[in-house]
Amino acid sequence: MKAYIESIGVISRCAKSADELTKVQNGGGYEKAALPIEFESQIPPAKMRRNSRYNKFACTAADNAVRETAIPEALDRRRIGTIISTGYGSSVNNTQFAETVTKGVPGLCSPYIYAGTVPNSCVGQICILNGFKGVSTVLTGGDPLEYSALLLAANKADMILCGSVEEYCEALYSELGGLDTLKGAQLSEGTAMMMMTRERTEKTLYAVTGFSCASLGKSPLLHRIDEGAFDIITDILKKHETAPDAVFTAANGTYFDDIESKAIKTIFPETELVSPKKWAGETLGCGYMMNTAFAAAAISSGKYKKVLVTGVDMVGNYCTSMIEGV
Amino acid sequence: MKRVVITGMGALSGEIKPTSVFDASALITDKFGEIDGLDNNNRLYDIIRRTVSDMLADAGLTSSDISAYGNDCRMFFGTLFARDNAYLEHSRTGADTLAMSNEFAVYAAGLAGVCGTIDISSASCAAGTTAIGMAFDFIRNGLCRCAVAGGAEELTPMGGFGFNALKALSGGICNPYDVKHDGINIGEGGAFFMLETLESAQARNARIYCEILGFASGNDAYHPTSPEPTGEEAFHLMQNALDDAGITAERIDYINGHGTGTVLNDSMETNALKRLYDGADRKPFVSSTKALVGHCMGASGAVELASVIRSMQDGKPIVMPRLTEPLDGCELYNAPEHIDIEYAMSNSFGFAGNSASIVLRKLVSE
Repeated sequence: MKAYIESIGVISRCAKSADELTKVQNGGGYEKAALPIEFESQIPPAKMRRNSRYNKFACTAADNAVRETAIPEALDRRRIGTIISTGYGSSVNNTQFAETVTKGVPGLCSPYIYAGTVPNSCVGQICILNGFKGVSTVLTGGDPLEYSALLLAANKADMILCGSVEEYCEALYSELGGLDTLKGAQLSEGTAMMMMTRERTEKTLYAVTGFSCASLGKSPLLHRIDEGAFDIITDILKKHETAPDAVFTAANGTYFDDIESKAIKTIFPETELVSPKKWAGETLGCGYMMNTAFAAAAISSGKYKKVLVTGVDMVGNYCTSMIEGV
Repeated sequence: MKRVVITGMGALSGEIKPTSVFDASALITDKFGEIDGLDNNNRLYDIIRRTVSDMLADAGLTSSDISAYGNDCRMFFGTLFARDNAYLEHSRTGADTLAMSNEFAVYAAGLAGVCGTIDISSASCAAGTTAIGMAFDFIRNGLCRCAVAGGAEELTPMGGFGFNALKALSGGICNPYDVKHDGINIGEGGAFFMLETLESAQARNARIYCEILGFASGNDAYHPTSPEPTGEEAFHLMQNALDDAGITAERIDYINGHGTGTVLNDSMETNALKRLYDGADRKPFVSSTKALVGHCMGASGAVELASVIRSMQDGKPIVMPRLTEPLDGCELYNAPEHIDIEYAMSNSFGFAGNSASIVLRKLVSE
């Protein structure tokens, strides 16, 4: 199963474009943005009226990816899909709406805030802005890259906007920050979107050439996992037939780093390990796609030809994919 | 490509009545599709426990059998409300309930013995059908041998107050596709299915309910909460599902519509169905399970698939009890007394334009 990537849009605490990702990785200085991250959007404000910040966040990254790509005029927009993932969706809207429900007065409950509580509200807005009517879903667990590649390979779409978004929510992040499993991690928010295509085009920058994933049984971000994860991770990694130039890992400054790095070094002993989370922070449900964006930027800069990306999500999936320059 | 069959199911849904789950007295209605006898402190997990357990027993499998498949068996879970009570609890008491609000899926996978990845589809009211459709796509294309797929949803005040704010609730009991329709009754429920390759099912001599022939998902790209009114995208969605199944619309004997009972949805669907069957020699019967159990939100597609499969088995159509005057005089909603369902379709349309359609065939033993 193979798919191609034409463009990337990203917002993180260290970079808000693919070029900035490259600069950061090459040792360029950056100012770590405070949470919530302030960002500018090229989308006219009138088109995002009454949208949640979660939507604006995702739509801006998506817009940046779409602007960098070349969608053929003649391509039926029903052949352009949207597959997005998130760990917690629109937590801010959910906490706001829950507060109004707790008061028990229906008149206090805003239909606009409620409409923004659903995790797929961002996909809806992305589709409205761009006219994308193809295959579509939001995953709050699972690998959007793998599913997008599957849909492209199965000829259910010609292009897919694939990505992730995780929005900062004070209540949620405060709780997460108190977990033993995240001791050492720097929690942050982020969104990373990429335009994938079924066939290689003149705009193609990268190919996604291999996938392998499994469940760790629980998320290492939320629960302490034991050394049994070592076997699961090595089994996943073995399925990649060739060694990459680098592995962009899920390491986030916590206890999990050692477990993962030992497993990777067992299978790919000569391979350099890179930890994008030291720049972007731990972006939870966006971590894997953020890593993918960093890998793509590193390939673009000529630093590597082939990068294996790993990531974990909030339900314990350990996902890996091989990204190669074309 | 592999052929994908359903070899087990467990389903639970409720009756539309005044709810005892939360205080709905301030809302336009207190009528919700409530399941009796659930653990009120843990309704969602109770629904999951019962439906997954029933599915395993129905499939003739234990969780150990599923675990033996290793990564070759994955879970696909559709839901919309599953995290709501975590937010409410946090709001009411300040308790730390948010971080672990996705654990319901890990619980379901553990109960079923699934060792493979867990995908949670959160495509609003299309989540359940999408989860099952994803499982179908993964198995058909050889990414796994089998899957536990479905959805679950509990009644929560967030949903009640939310849909009340949207003015989408019925003042009485929902009446899908009738000219007097006035909104939805939210329901709770769940259904899980064992999906596997035909070879896998035959190898273990499993009872096969049906084969999944095709699946399509899409997006209206129209409005955050309302469907595109002409039904254009719904029409294309159904056509895509049929194309994926390799059959024409005229082969379909029965369609389980989304049929929420809202003016916007029912009109949109009727437009789409009439266009799909314009000039057709043979037309299906169309009905909505929501008329009986309410709108189970992210789990609705799963609950409705179970009702379709049951109808396939016993030849009894799902009759909408309050339908007296079909929208636009649409003949598709006139219930036959008996129906032989060989080919069926189930459709789901959700917030943010997400939609999903699945096509099934009752499998004749080979």
